[in-house]
Amino acid sequence: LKMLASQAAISLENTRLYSDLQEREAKIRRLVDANIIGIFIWNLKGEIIEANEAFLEIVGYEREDFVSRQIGWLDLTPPELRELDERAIAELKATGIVQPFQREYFRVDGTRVPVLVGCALFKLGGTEGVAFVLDLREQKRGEEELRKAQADLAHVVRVMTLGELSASVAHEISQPIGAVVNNAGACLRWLAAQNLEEAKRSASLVVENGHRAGEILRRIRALSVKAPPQMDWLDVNATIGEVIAMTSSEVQRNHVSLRTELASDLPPVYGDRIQLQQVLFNLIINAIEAMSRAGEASREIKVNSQKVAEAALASSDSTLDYEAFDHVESTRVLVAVQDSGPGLDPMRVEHIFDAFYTTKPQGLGMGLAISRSIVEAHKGRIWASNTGQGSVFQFALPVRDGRSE
Amino acid sequence: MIAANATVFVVDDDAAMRDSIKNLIRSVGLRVELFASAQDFLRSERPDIPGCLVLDVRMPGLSGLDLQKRLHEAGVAIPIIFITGHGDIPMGVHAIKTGALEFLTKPFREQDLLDAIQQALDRDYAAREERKAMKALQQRFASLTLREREVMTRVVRGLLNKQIGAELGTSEITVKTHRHQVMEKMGANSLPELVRMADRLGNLLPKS
Repeated sequence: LKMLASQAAISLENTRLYSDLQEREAKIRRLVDANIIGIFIWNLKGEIIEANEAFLEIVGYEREDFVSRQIGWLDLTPPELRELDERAIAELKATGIVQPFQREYFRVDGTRVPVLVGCALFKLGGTEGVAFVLDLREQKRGEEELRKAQADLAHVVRVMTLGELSASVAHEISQPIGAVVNNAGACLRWLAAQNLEEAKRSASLVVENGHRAGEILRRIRALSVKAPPQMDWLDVNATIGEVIAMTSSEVQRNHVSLRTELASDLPPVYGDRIQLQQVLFNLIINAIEAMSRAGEASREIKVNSQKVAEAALASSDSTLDYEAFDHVESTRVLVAVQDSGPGLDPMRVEHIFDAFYTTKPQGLGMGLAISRSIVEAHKGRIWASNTGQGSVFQFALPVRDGRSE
Repeated sequence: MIAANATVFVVDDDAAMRDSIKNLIRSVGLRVELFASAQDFLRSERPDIPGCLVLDVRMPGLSGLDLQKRLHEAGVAIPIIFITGHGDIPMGVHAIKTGALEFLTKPFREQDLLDAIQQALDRDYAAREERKAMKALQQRFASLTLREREVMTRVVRGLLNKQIGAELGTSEITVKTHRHQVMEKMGANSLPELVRMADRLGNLLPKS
């Protein structure tokens, strides 16, 4: 009886265990079939044993393709990610789980789908496990749209800046064109007077001034074109010179004295000339406006360029003697625009690069935000600080070796 | 009618523009002097010769309008032709109102500048002649005695010698002598000529 009782107890217990198991399995099944995220069960041979609808939808295959073992997870893996998989498997074997990581799967149509994947072995030392797959397509599309929106915005700002600039530009371009007209008129009169020497001199002045007008037009056209970045090797000092020429009438109009201190040993930087002009342009115009608005009596802008070491930059926000840190491997080109204005509000200095942040009555708050995105697209960084006599905006661009990335 | 030594002074901060204006002005046989800033022009030693000023409006430091004001305050009467890269109408109106002769927007027709210069030099020449004549007239007037001036005032009012004599308490003969002296010293050939001189002298004449 005792035995019978214990038998009964065991079978009762078994029944309970069994129903527990059933209940648990039902729970898991519910999780799998809820299709909130993609789930598949796999083995280390590269096979996919089971997959839920959500996963099938992500990769575009039929359940039959996996169940028949015709397609395994190895087939879904782009070749360059094999190595990543091997590392993940090593991690799995060691700890039983793999923290979620971003990767791509091949879809049935050969396109790639960005996903976030986390895996777990069913038991440590085993060969089967489960993978949870989150579709990142929407998110990536969002990022793409954001990037596009930023590009559009950059274009709008460029065009607007161009609008603001047009008065200055009209002034700048009227000089060489006026000079052409005057010299050509003089040339005709010298010819009429049969003074060939003076006529010849006048004609060559016409050519010279015509070229100058052409160069200005080229610069304006470059500013207005919504072009993809034109990466090229740049002489940063030349770029600074171009922007100073563009801003010269603003500088004069606001009675600003602008000085430059340009290092003669700058290595070329790989970047988009127009975009970097835009950054410098924003910084110089901002400096002029900051000083004019504050009604500063002494208005000085200093633009300087130098070759610095990356290590030094990471640890400092103000001017330092960078020479001591100078190493070829970590060289950067640093450009600083310093003004004698009222300086930056220390409480707000960390927001000045945010979009739509502005202290100007008519400002859009886009100039510095765009400047930052341009500098960051060049793998550089931009920052601002107070000098005690004003503010300084600096950006550092990496100097790369021969090939583009 | 331009004096041989007439000089066009050009103040513009843009070197190419400055040189081209010089070239243009030289090509019509005029003298020209260049200045890169208003300050340079103010500091320069300029002989007192007929001339005019071609002045850029927008320059670093003193603007063209500032220079115009300074010259006006210093009593320098030189005709000014403004040139500007900004077709700024209020600025142009202001410049003309305060005595500028012409306001040209760059790039201007070169003939317009030459015409303006011609006109400016003519005007300066005429103004100089006028000042010279006025000075001579004043000198002649200064050589008159007090009594002669009193007589002149009354002669130009159209009084007869008898009436003048009565007003001044002298004989008609004496007035006649004074009157003759006035015509002689002032270099007037007729009564209408003397009246015109009196008009120009204005307040200098004693009240009667």
